[in-house]
Amino acid sequence: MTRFELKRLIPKIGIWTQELIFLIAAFFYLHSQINPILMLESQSPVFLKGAAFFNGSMKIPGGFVNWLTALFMQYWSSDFWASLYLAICFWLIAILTRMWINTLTEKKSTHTFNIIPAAIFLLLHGNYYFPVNVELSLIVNLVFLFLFNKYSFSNQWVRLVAGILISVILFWFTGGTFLVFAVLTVLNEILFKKKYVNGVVLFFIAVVLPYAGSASIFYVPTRQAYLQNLIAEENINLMTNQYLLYAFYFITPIVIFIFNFSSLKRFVQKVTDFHQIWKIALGTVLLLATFYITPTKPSNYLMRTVIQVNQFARNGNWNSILEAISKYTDKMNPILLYQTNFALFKKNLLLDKMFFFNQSEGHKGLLMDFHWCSTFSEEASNIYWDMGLVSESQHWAHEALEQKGYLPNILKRLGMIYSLKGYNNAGNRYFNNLKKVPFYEETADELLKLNQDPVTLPKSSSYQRIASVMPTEDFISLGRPSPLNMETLLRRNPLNKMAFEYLMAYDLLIGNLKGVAKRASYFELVNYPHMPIHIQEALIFKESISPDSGKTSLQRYVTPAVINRFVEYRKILIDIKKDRSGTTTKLRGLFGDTYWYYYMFIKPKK
Amino acid sequence: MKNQNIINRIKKFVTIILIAILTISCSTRKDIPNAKEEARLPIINPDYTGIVIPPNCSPLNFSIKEKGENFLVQISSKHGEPIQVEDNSGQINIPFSDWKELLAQNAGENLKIEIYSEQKNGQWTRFNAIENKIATEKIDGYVAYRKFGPLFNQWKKMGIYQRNIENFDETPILPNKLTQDNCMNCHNFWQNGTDRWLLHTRFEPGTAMLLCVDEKIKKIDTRTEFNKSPGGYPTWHPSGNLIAFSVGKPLQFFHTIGETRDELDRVLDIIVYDVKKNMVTTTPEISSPDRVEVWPLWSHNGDYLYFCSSNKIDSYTVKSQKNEDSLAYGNIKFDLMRILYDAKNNTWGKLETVISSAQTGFSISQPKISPDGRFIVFTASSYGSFPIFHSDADLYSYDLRNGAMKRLELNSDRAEGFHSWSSNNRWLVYSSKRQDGQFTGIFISHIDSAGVTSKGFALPQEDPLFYETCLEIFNVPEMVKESVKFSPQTLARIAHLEEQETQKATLDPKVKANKSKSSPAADSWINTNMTR
Repeated sequence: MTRFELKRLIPKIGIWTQELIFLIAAFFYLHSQINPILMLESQSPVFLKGAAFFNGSMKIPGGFVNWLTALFMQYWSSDFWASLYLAICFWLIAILTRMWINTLTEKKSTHTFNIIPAAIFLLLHGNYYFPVNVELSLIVNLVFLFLFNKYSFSNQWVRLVAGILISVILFWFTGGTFLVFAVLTVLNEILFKKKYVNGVVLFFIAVVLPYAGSASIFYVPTRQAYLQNLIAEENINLMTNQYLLYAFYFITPIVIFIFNFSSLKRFVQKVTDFHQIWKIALGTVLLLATFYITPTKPSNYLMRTVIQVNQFARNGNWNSILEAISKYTDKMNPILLYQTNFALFKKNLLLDKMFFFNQSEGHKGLLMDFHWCSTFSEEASNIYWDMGLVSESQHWAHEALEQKGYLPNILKRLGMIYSLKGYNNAGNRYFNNLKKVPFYEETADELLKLNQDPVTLPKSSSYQRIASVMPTEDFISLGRPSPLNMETLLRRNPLNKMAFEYLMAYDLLIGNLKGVAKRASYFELVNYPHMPIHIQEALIFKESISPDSGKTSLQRYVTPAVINRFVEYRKILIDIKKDRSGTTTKLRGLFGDTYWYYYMFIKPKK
Repeated sequence: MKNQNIINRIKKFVTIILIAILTISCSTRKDIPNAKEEARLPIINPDYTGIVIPPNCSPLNFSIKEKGENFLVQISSKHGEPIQVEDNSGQINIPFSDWKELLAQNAGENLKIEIYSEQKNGQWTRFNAIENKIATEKIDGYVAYRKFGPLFNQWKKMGIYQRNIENFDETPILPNKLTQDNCMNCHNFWQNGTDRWLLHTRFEPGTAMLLCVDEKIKKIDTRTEFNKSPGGYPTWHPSGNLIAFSVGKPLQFFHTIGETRDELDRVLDIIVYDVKKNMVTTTPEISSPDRVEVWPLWSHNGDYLYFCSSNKIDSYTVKSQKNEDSLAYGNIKFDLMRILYDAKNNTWGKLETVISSAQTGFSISQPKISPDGRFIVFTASSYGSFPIFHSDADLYSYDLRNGAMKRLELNSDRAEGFHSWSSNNRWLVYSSKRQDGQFTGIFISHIDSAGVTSKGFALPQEDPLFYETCLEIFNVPEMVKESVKFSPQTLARIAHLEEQETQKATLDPKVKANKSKSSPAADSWINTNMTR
């Protein structure tokens, strides 16, 4: 290799190295700070094998990219694979942006600058609702943009026809992101190729195409035709960054054009007149510094915690839920408490430790109200399923199906519900769809096989428990959570532990001390290892505020340790009247985990 | 030279294609040697056995639910060449043009479907032949329906669609994707045509009726001082100038066993909308404060307005056996009533009970009259007026000539309802949950001049496995002779008209004067999922 060749090769290696460093840094940043696997929870990519689903996707502009992204996301089995996918997307965006910029400049040595869009994507993904489709859409457009700029026909008219055709195809396949190709091609034609007619016609096509598409072939609103896969409209807090992304692509050719025609070019060359490799190194350092100073927590802490807790619940990581909630410092909301209480129940700790957590939402944190169930329908369905209230689980699973689409867990749940209720053929419809979800073929086959034999089905391991606790008498509900639901379940099967504990927890949360006392003997009947702490606390508290025949139950159920603690609590409570300021903090510190404290200081008013 | 080369290549390509086509078309029919007889009908899905088929029906594609490595189906009739279809998965896609030809040649004849299955050892089995009949009377070319998921409270994807019965083309009349994912329902066509028709949209971009009259579409708000809720369950007067609606507020509730969803009807009244005057009218006889009135139906000559009516009960809350509060839903039963109407003078006659629920024991809803005015077909169920949730819901006919009433032969042990007559009186399409008890599908039955119905069959679909995988519901099928003339985009544009561009219906001054005596009509028509 000659010295000249080596001199030319070194900057190239420098650029590739810089991009590789970016790839690695982006991967680690995603993996350690963003946890993109949580995007599966927030974006719920629906993908079914087969022509019908593909054809359905192709009926909207951008549907192809959505289909492809959903397919890729099926393979996001862990943060590793999700981070790798996104990092590779960012890397491709950086490379393609460089290749595109190089088609506009004489010196083919773009570096650092081309990584800006990819870096913006990293920021955007701090919001878990930012659609993953956008990267792929942009990549497809950048590929075509580069190919068109680099290799397109020299004949003006052929070039124009090719430009129009590509615009139409890109609009169909990638949605509104085709505007990136169209607008940048327009700029290229006008500023660099001096083909003004082409520029004007392609601009007209870019403006009109989505409108024409939505008015004729595609049944989508015009707004969606323009914005599909271009802008995530629903997340207002993302707007600035999204505009920055597209502003970058819009401004770049203009800047390059200005540089080519002004003394600015000479000035910049003079100022930055040191070896290329040093420039690349400096750019790389700057990029890495950006990673370092970028906030380690994604943009919305509450959103992240909710998504994370929901995913833990989906995977049965009950300890992780309790750990995450223990560390969580912001305001509690019903879904977080709902999952916390569910995790406590799963760990056999509900009636012993529920007040260790701030039950500020009262009974809504145990069984969400209609509004919260409507928002977190799948989660609502899960608890009612475990409890055995199959019809209520069915209700919320259907809401989830409407909101999220044909996701495997929902299909499986609904299939099992219909099978259990004796609607085996209806169950089969869900299982047949489950079979089309990648990695769920085997599960679907097993369920379909079970469903063929309605007699043995309730005895099979996957159905047995629910079949033994689901109600057999009709009970009318107006769609609101009610203790009557749990009572119905207990009548069906008094050994339904979840229904019983949730009923007791519900009574504790609404302050129904009579109800708690009435059912206290049940714990002995079903051989609980000990009387749960919060029940003991409720019993002694009830005795203190309305003394009646509780003495026997106190002696029988409440341990001396709890009694002593309550005596101490009351003493401090009396002191509050004397010195309110310091004592309440002390009370919270010492007794914030007790039912008494909840009842007196946290329980929401009706 | 170069050009000659290209021409030669094209010639070669065309020759190959021609040979291929010739080979396929000349392929001989397969003979079935030594087939073992199985003396029973084969199991196929959908169930296309023992049915009457319209001569203009699309192919009855189906899947065979028998064991076998390969399947052969032979479809034949008196005239023409039999059709043979062979498939190793048992999914039978009948060639479209062959099917059409066979049906066209054999109207009024029997249609035989013979099914053979081949086992691993090469042994063929022959099942009893399926015998269907091809009717002489055609069915209207289109069926319009509401398509959506099995909803409870929320919905995302919903729309009114039209399906060409003669082929498999389904096109949207208005998908809610174009109207901000809103709710839509109550599509209805005057005399099975598309000159005058309507549908309703609820919530954003505006609760209104889209009314198409003589190739113009209007957005109309039917809410007035009398009815704070918009109309639903429409019925066109034969003149095409009046539409009767129900207005009111049903209550949704849930069961813990069986079908979960249910509706309770508490406050429902009937109004009549005058298309020319853009005016709503009513009379205490059809909007009584003491009764619940729903499901209006104009007689074929427009002299009578039929409707379903029930006494209001004192309390909707009852104590269950366990002393818990429950709903008295089971106590509400509807009679079929009618009232004389003079359209010329807008005057009402006397109220008459046509079928009393006290006598029959069932509750009546969804009456639909045959275009010739002879039969009323209605839905009967144990209670209420929303029978699609009741597995005991069946279709009954009432002969207006002699008052004879009967349960139709087409019924199954699951819910039937939301039926529609063809313009020639010979076909009924209806919703049924017979396939699995949950998913409402569209079924077709022939009805002869004596009112005898044939076994219903599912609306044919191109994909033989359609009814095993489809997670959508098809409801309120309305038979129409031709397709809707407006594009979905045009309808969406009208649906998006601002409030000031929407025609607000006025209230009949006579009703205004009597308003103090009128029924406490419902505040809002919670009609989000009225046709599940």
